[in-house]
Amino acid sequence: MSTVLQTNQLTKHFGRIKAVQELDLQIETGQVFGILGPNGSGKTTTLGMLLGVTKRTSGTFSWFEQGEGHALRKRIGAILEHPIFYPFLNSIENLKIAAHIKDVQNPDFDGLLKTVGLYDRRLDAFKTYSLGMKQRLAIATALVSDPDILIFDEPTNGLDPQGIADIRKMIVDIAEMGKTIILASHLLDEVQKVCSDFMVLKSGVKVFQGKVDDVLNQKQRIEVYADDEEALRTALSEVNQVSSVKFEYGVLVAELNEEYSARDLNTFLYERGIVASHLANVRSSLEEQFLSILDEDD
Amino acid sequence: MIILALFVLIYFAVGLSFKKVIDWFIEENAEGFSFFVDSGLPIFDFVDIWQNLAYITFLFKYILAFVVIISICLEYSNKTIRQNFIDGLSRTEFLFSKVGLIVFLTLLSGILLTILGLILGMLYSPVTSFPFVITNMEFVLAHMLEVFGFLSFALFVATLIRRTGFSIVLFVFYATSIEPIATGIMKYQYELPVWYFPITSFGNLVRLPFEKYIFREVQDYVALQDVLVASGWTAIFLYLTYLLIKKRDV
Ligand SMILES: Nc1ncnc2c1ncn2[C@@H]1O[C@H](COP(=O)(O)OP(=O)(O)OP(=O)(O)O)[C@@H](O)[C@H]1O
Ligand SMILES: [Mg+2]
Repeated sequence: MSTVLQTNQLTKHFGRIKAVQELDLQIETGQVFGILGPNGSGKTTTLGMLLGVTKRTSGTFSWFEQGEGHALRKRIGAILEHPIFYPFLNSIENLKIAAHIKDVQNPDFDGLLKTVGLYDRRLDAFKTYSLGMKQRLAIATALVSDPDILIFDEPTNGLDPQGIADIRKMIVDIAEMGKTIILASHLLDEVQKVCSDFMVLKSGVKVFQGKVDDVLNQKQRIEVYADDEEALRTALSEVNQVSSVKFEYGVLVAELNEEYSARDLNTFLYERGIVASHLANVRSSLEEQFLSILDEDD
Repeated sequence: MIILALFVLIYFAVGLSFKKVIDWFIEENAEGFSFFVDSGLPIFDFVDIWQNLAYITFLFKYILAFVVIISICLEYSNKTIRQNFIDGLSRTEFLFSKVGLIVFLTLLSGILLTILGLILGMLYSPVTSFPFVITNMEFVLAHMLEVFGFLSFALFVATLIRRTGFSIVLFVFYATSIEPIATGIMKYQYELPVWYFPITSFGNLVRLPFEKYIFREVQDYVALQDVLVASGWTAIFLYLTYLLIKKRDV
């Protein structure tokens, strides 16, 4: 594995606003890396600095361990915030400009447009496209130089459920081609569905970084309920492996340590003469983790 | 260098109307010409024609300046400059592409002026032998420097303001009102020298020629000092534009 991106104390202030503060980050080849954070947490600002459009206040970064020269960006396919194109030009003409800047020899525009499902509209001017089509053209443009790394900033923003599913599938497909992807999003389940690794930004500060799987599997959450709620609570409190019990939406939610399963819990309750009327294993969602990470830091 | 297709399109639209204006201009002058023939003024005679035409066509600079301003401001308002940088264009390359545009427009106006001069001169000048034709053609070069400097100023204003309408208003207002009024007051009220103002210095390259048919007391050559001052301002505007593009977020 080699390092695709390294940042060192990267910082951006807009006047008094500290948009990004002393960010240290390392991304390796093949990762699908999620930058998760609420609105205004500094995701776009971070990517803007990495892509040479936002001037940093201090710190350094390095692409492909080769620094921050503009030519390195030719090996990156990136879209920041909204798809940006020349409004009066059609797909092919817009792709030509991107290919020209990126020094692409013999680009396969038709193939790309077929991949993203825009081939039929390729000769219409960009300004006549729907938002979903614009996003598709943006993805085609990002792919035009067959880059090793792709950067998407909220690529499903404003799309309908079908559009969201389509774009996510495209991103997963691209990841399966072995490309490194950086995905900024405030949608947790997007990161959960697409990413292998992620970090959480909060007011410009990195408050967490880890693997999506690790976070998901750290703790299991079990919904359990019995007619005799008091007895159930008492029983649960006696199990060492149960780290917390909460009452949520009419059931008790217990967090179990890794080695203890729902089955073990059920056996234990049965032995104590408590019959569970409801017992379900809920996957600990990233959302809970995300919220707890944000809470922790307050 | 990337002069984007959009601006090529806009350019051609404007370029065509530019030619139309010249046609119109030729017609106007053809009428004017009969008047001058009657009064015997040699406006389109070779030797004189270059300075005269170079002065008359100065208005076209404004059209070219609008092309430059629109070209820059559209990049900002459509944010395509941002995507170009993201795609890997360097900030210097972007500046070069825009300087390329003004070089192109400058050459174009030089060529048009030459063609126009040759046509009008051949049609109306009593002397058409070669040495006379090329005498005073340095006014064409001076005119090109004037256009280039003027467009550099437009480039700077557009890059600074980034909004088409406001840039054009400010540009025109400065070039036609603020500086002329300021220099006018300084010159006639306080008798201060004004040659160092930018628009004035571009204008000084080709001085108002027609008075010489009345007073015969006009600078009928391109003065070195004017060239130096105009070149200096051009360099300053290009450098300031470079700094703006280099240092700012997009
Ligand atoms: N050009 C700017 N001038 C001043 N402040 C800015 C500018 N751009 C961003 N900011 C501020 O920097 C902070 C981070 O903004 P940023 O756009 O990076 O957030 P984000 O995480 O991308 O949010 P979102 O999810 O809404 O896209 C915000 O407080 C924002 O107001
Ligand atoms: Mg953003």
